Amino acid sequence: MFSFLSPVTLWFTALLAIPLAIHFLGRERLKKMPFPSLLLVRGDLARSMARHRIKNWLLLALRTLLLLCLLVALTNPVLKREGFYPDAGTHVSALFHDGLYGRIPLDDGMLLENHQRNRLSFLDSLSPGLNIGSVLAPSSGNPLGSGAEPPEERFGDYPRAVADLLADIPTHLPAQAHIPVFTDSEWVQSLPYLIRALHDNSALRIAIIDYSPLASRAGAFRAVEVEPPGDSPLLALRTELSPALEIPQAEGRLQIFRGRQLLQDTPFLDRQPYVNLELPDQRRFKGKLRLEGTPTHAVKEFHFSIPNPDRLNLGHAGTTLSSLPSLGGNSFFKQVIHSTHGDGLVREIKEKNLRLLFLSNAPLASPSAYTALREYVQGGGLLILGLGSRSDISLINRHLLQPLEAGRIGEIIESNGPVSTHLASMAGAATLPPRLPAHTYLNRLFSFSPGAESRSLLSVDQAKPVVISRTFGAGGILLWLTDIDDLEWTNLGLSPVTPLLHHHFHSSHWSDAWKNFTSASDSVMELQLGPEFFPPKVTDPDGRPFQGVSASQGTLILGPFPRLGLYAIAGSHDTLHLAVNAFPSASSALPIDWDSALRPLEKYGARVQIIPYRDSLAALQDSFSPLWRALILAAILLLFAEGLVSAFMSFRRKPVA
Amino acid sequence: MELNRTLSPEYVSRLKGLALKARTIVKGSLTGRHLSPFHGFSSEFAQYKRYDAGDDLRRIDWRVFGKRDQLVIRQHRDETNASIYLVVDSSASMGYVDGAMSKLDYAAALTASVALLGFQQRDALSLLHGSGKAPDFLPPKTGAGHLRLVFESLEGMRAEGQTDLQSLLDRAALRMKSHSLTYLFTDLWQEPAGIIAGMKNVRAQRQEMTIVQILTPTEERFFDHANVELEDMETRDRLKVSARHMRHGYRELLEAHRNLLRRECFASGVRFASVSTDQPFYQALQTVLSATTPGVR
Repeated sequence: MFSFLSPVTLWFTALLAIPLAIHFLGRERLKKMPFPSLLLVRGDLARSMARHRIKNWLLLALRTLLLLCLLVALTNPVLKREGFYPDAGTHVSALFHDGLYGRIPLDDGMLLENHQRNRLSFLDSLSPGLNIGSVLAPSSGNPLGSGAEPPEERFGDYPRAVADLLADIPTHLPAQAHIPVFTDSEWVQSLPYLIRALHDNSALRIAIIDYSPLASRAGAFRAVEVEPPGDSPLLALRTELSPALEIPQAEGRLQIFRGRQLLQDTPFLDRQPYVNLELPDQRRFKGKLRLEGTPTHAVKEFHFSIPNPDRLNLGHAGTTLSSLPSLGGNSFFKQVIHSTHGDGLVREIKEKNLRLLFLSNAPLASPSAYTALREYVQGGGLLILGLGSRSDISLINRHLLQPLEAGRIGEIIESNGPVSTHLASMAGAATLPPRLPAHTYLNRLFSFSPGAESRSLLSVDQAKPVVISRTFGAGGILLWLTDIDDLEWTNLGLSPVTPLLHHHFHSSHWSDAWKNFTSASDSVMELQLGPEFFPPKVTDPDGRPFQGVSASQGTLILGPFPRLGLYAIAGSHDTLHLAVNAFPSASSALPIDWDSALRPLEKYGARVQIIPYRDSLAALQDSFSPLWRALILAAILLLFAEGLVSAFMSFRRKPVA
Repeated sequence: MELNRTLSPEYVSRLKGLALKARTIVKGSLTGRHLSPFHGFSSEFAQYKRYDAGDDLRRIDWRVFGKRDQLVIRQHRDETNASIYLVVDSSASMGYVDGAMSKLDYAAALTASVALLGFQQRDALSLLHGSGKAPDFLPPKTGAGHLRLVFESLEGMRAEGQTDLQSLLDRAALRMKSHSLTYLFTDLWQEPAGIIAGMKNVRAQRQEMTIVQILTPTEERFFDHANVELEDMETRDRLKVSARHMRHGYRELLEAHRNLLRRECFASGVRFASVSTDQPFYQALQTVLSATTPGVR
């Protein structure tokens, strides 16, 4: 016994009439013709004619069968199996596939809309009294309707949703309806609603396929964090998988998409995958995490934003240009302005609104240029200064470092010895190896007498500074005291350029308040923002004004967020973006104790069958796949048979002597 | 059919350039264009013969006498007229019409043409037509009156009966004089064995025989219609066929049938010609007259 999941397609079986009609109507009317003699026509040719006729009929039959197979395959035939359909006398079977949010593979931001309409139209589409077999419910939208109230739980109220579905059934389906319900959440909590449904319709038969051991798909990913680049131009993406999730060992894969583009596909090794992503071209995107190769096939979307990177211009003069591409120059900076000589760059500070300068062994010709640099730093600008053979040390000392009280550069010295670092300070600039080499060396180091306000981030031989930092409010100067062109200056495993740039970039542009933000949809967050963001203008992912905003004394309170995605906070100069992602809180204990859970239903004489998901999956696979696959296979075999028949018939035609 | 219309004056006048010429030696009572087994007065030298008493002195070759001192006479090949047996298969299948005329009409016109040629060279003409066991027969005679009889008989032919060439030829052979010419006009729609047997019987009468197969274009190429129901004109059997499907096979079989008969004709020293009813008569007649000579017995 089998039924069809897409019975409408059966109407297309009328298409079978087409080849038959073509065959019969296309047959040429026999024309009676006198012929002198049938001497030659009677023998082999007549037999060949008979074969030809048989072949024609056979081909017609094969082609009709082929079309029939394809049409039936399109109807999604399903085998009714003992246990899966407990009552063979069922009039109508409606298979409700859990279409709740946890099952949505891609959310398009329409969390709270449209489902009510979808659900009702689906139920309306069922014709009472028809033996229609199983129907897959739509798996989009949210079951909770379009209420303004925030959801009770983060991903939808499963029990109520299922109960809503059940509540509609008695008015639409006949009394003998049999309803398998597929769900993977704490479905048992909907029992009161189920009781109500049974009260309305005592003949209801319900098969529950217990997906609870798989845990909620929505809960598969507990959190996703995207960290900014550290000492390498990579984003760190961390996630955590639910401990209740059943995942076979060494089978799963974690896939990360941006849109439809697969960014990363890595074997799933533990429950806290940590993945390094290359810097994206787009600074804001919607990504997708997917567990493949597991029974769960969990999918979770996340939104990601690099906060306001494109407002920063980097000015660069001197050598070591090769280090810049590794910074993702086109990703993090609005513009990178190169200049061979430092004077030209200094002249463009105001014109280009530069906030970060990197002078690597770049000579400045005039004292006035150093004066301009000094004013730039004191005004809040960031300067990274790398020394080298072309650096005019005396001018730097006299017109830059000494006026800033940063210290004084001396002669080049050779220094080998143990390296010491101010770990707390250096941690912001670069990630040092966990263990420093036992014998470190430094080449071509400029001696330096630090000022009172300077801080040594890295030093050698206990007293000789290597990296010096001097800050002025938001601005500051970072001084690298080795020959910056000597890339083998040390065996520390540290490049003189990249970490420092990152350090200054991060410290100025990746503050906690601007962090890529992960939030539940019902969360509230506080942001400390400057005066340019007040009064606040916040828009939701659709660009509509977001109402859940309050502000007090430099603090912006946002939330809860009814939609996931990128929220924009417009300031007078810049716009901040918040990526609001949703991740579940801890799940309840799984799996469900069905015996005790269903006990309240006993007094209704409820016919409820619990089918372990493994069996149901097998049953589904047995009932869905083999049948239509078999039909497709049959169609292919028929095609093959047609070819064989044609070939055989041609081969059998005896050659005439 | 009226032969007067078919054989137009222009056509008949063109026939004057043609001649029926026996390739073998035929016997006749009148002087004609065929080689006779007897020695006579033609210009074709045959042999020397020793002079015997009573031989015509005018035939003595005096030059030989001068050289060898022997009296010999020159003998020349005699020329005679021939009996031409015109056998026409008038079975029902010959009544098949494809175009302006039936195969039988075409055969009658060809036969009349050959008869005219024979008449012009004073040959005795005999006509035998029918489908098998009871053919109509005109014995060989010369003269315009007999020619008219031949023509009237040709005009009165009706296509009927089943082809039985063996019977037809057997009966013809019984009436034939030896060393004559026989022309058979037929469509050869019969199992080859019967045709071959009849043909050998005729050849046993020392006849110089020519078989002329007459087919229509449709018989040559088969039908263009997709599906037809064929009705045998002789047996009235019916068969539904897909012409498109069997056209190729039919042509192969027809060619095989013709080749078999051609081979047998060659083996038996019978000339074989095949003409189509869409050919002009003059061209068809040339085909008949130029049919290859398989050999002389």
